[in-house]
Amino acid sequence: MDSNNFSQDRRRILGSLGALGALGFASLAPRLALIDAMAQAAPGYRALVCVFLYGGNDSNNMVVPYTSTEYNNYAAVRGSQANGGLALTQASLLPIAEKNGSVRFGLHPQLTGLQTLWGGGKAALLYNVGTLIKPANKTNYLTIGAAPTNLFSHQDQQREFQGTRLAGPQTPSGWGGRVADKLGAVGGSVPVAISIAGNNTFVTGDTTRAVALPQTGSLAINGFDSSPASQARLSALRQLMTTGSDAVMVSTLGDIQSSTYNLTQTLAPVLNGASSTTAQFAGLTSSLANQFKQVAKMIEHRADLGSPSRQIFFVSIGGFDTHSNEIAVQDKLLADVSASVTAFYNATVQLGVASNVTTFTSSDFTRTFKPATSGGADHAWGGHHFIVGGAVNGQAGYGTFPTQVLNGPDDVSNEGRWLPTTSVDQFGATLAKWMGVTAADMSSVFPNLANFTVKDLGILSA
Amino acid sequence: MDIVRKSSRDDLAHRNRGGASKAAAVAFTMAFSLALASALSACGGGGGGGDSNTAPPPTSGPPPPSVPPPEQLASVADATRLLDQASFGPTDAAVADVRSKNITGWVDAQLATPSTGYASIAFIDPNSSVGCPTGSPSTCFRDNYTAFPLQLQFYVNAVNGADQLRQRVALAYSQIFVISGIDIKETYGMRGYQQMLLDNAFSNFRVLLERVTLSPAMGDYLDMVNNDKSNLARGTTPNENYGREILQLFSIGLFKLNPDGTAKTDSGGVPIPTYTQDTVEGFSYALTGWTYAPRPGATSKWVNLKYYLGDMVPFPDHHETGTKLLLEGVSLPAGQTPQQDLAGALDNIVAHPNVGPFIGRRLIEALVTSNPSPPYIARITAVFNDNGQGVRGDMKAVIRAILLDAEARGDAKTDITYGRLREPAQFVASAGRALGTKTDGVYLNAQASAMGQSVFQPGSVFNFYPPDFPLPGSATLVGPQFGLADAPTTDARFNFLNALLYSANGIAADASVANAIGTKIDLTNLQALAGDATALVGKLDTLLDHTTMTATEKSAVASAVNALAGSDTVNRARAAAYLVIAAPRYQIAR
Repeated sequence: MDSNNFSQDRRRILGSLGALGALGFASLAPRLALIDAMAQAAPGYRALVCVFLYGGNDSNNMVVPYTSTEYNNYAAVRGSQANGGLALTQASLLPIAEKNGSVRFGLHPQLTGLQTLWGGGKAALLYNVGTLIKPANKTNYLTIGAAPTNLFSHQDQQREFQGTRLAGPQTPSGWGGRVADKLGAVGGSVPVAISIAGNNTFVTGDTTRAVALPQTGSLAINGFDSSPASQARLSALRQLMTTGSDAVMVSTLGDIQSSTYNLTQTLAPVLNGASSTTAQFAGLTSSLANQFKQVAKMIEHRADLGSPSRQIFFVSIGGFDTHSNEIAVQDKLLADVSASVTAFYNATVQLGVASNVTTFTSSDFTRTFKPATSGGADHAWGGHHFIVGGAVNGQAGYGTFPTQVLNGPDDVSNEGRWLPTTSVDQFGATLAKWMGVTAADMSSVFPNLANFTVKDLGILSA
Repeated sequence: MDIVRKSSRDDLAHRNRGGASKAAAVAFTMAFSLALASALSACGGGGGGGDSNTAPPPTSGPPPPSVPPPEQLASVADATRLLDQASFGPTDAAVADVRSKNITGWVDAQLATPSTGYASIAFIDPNSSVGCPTGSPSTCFRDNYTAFPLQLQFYVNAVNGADQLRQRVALAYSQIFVISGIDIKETYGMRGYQQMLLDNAFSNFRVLLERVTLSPAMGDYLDMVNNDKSNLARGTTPNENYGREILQLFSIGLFKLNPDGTAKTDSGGVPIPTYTQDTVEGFSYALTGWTYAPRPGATSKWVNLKYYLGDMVPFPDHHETGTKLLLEGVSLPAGQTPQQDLAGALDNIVAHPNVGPFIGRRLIEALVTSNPSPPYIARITAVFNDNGQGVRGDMKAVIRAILLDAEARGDAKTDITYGRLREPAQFVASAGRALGTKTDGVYLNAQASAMGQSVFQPGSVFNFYPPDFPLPGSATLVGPQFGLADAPTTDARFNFLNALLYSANGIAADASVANAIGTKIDLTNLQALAGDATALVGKLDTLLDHTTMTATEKSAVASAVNALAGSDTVNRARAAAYLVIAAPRYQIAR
């Protein structure tokens, strides 16, 4: 836990100072500076990493009932793969035991890394979470205004899962960006919210702007040297960026160019620098793994970026829109997710910040429990998500697993579209509280949170 | 129902859809198709440039398209603005061409210009280890199983092709009716689809939507191909991918729209959805029972092997036979063939009042401005609904109206919300054209990709950026192309210009690409003026910014030019071009 780490570090440093007390006064000053540096760094530092699974991950095949009765029910509806169905065989599942030793669920066979993290108490699951305005059941969710705008639409559900603005006029901001808005002075020379996957809703604040980093390599503006002519051209370029205009788009682009120019100067040395954690990612070359490598690099070298005490990262992987050929496609994607998340977790262990960094998955929605022709499934609603990190109260599932019955109590259709029992607002608020967002600020970050009794799901140690 | 309350001319095409008997539906479809064919042949020929300039105003509704007096000589400024909207950017020759024909004449000539297009490519086995067996050149995969060869041709055509407007419209269509080379890997398949969009750039929307729907590449991309009827024994139902996206992305969108593009709202001010989950299932079921055309020599069967040449073919035994709920309460009767249900479903979509404002807005955003006024959209909707000759969905008339509208035309725009960020493909092609570039497309393609737009390869059916991406810092404006504007891509735009302008001998040819010539600019014209910084900046301001650069901006560029010796004309020309093209003033097309 963070506060414990803090005091341990203080004791250790002060103890070592005591042992060195015979050293002269002159050598003490730099050591006091060291105390300050360490006091500001690891103990107070916290970061969130959102892993967005674009397209709607079929979490019905990510977490599968493992006990006989429940598994057989699952297999009967999902159908055998030989007949074009989607059921994973029971033998292929990776069982995950709860803390008390009981096994309710098995993971998708490609999630070996996450199974290990679960077993080590570093991973948890949140069941049936989704875009939900207020608690509801299948008979009243439409009439009481519990359903978000444009259910089952990719783009809308992505924005709403990332933004938690589920109804009414949509604003551009996301909950990660709004957390950054509320954190106040956290230091650092770059924005709190950092995307390694381009612009997106999640990192966009109402008052703060995020920065996007390349997945690989660095930032650079080429072609300028110290000659007077080159410097004159650079000066003119800077002037053109900043001169402004009545035309809104012209001035907006100038702002983007100008902030890019500044961030390029700030970030290039870090991005060009070495990373000590590359061995953790050995053999991983996917886009997602590369994004995590950049996150690890930013965390490792945060002292070179003004030692921000809070950071919020966004990485993503696409391809989960498996209307057809789901078994093969999801197999590859989940293998990538498991390996990349695991490598990143191990990198945080190496960097000594495993308990300071929490990684979690999100997605548009899950997919119908009932399979569609062509070996896929269609757009649905509530699904399951992972939370990984040293601060996670792991080896446990949170929320309520849905009753997997077509047209049953949790199905708002006939195809197995689960009405969420936990709102993305509750999910986000749990993470935001850990980041330090106050109770008073919580309702402006998560507009639907007030509708739910439980505002902290207990997934993270304080 | 809105469909049967439309104007009499719409009823001509879409009468009585709700109550149509099976036989009547078939007869109707055939008649409609014949009417379309006739309308297309009437306006699709080579010499149709000047006909039917003025559409009679509809009997009611929004004001008619606003057309400037055709006799007036186009100003240089308006000619360059038109070329930013309807071509891949102004050149001295193109400006002269527009001025010689006038705006209307130039647009009509473009509407009659045939496609430059992509050379046809033969079928290749979907398995790349068959198509590129051991011992194949290392480039075999790239040249047969990726969009790369088409991307190069795209840029060659964009810089040089005569069919500039057709290409711009096809590029817009490729970002509305999206398929992606990430999934449709075989080059010949992507070629067929993109050529179809070029060929149908000025087609009727109903024809275009059917071409898209029956395309095997689209069928594969959005899972309409091999979409079987329900199977009770297996517990499967038809997948809903194409049935959903044809509504949400390709035609009507999520909310009911007024003709001016604003959302219709209920008494509580809440937008009214255009369809429900039941409607999505209705369209999905209506479009079941199609598989690839058989490969040459193969017997057609359910399921045919993957084959991207020729339309998908129907199999009635695999078609869902029940009734299907469509839009506005219309249902298809039970027992129809796959072809009948497909025709009925597409007729139902095209008749929906949303199509005009939805598609009109998308094309305005792609060609002219990101935040068009509601009256502008309404004028385009009116033309979509009736081209003046009783035909609905005439995209030739729609595109013409978009470009000739008063909101598109003029020497300069004072509305501070006006304009659009040049998407990467337009940015690199426009810079290339302005600098007299000879290119094989390799460099332009690589650079646009670094800016976030690898043409024909968006990350998903939602394109490179959403049409409603919020303009950063604005609560009300959209800036679709700003979806790509982040730190890496912003730097990429600067670095593209640096290499294009400052490489000593141009961008070298990639020896692995057949007939590669690299990318080489020609600064001769600018160098001739470069001794005089004011003249040099003025020339670029006229050609690229239609003389809207402010005194501050011109002075900034001139001072950088004057930091170089007057005799160093090449570096003076380079510095001026770099700064003018990198500047926000140019990157936003206004």
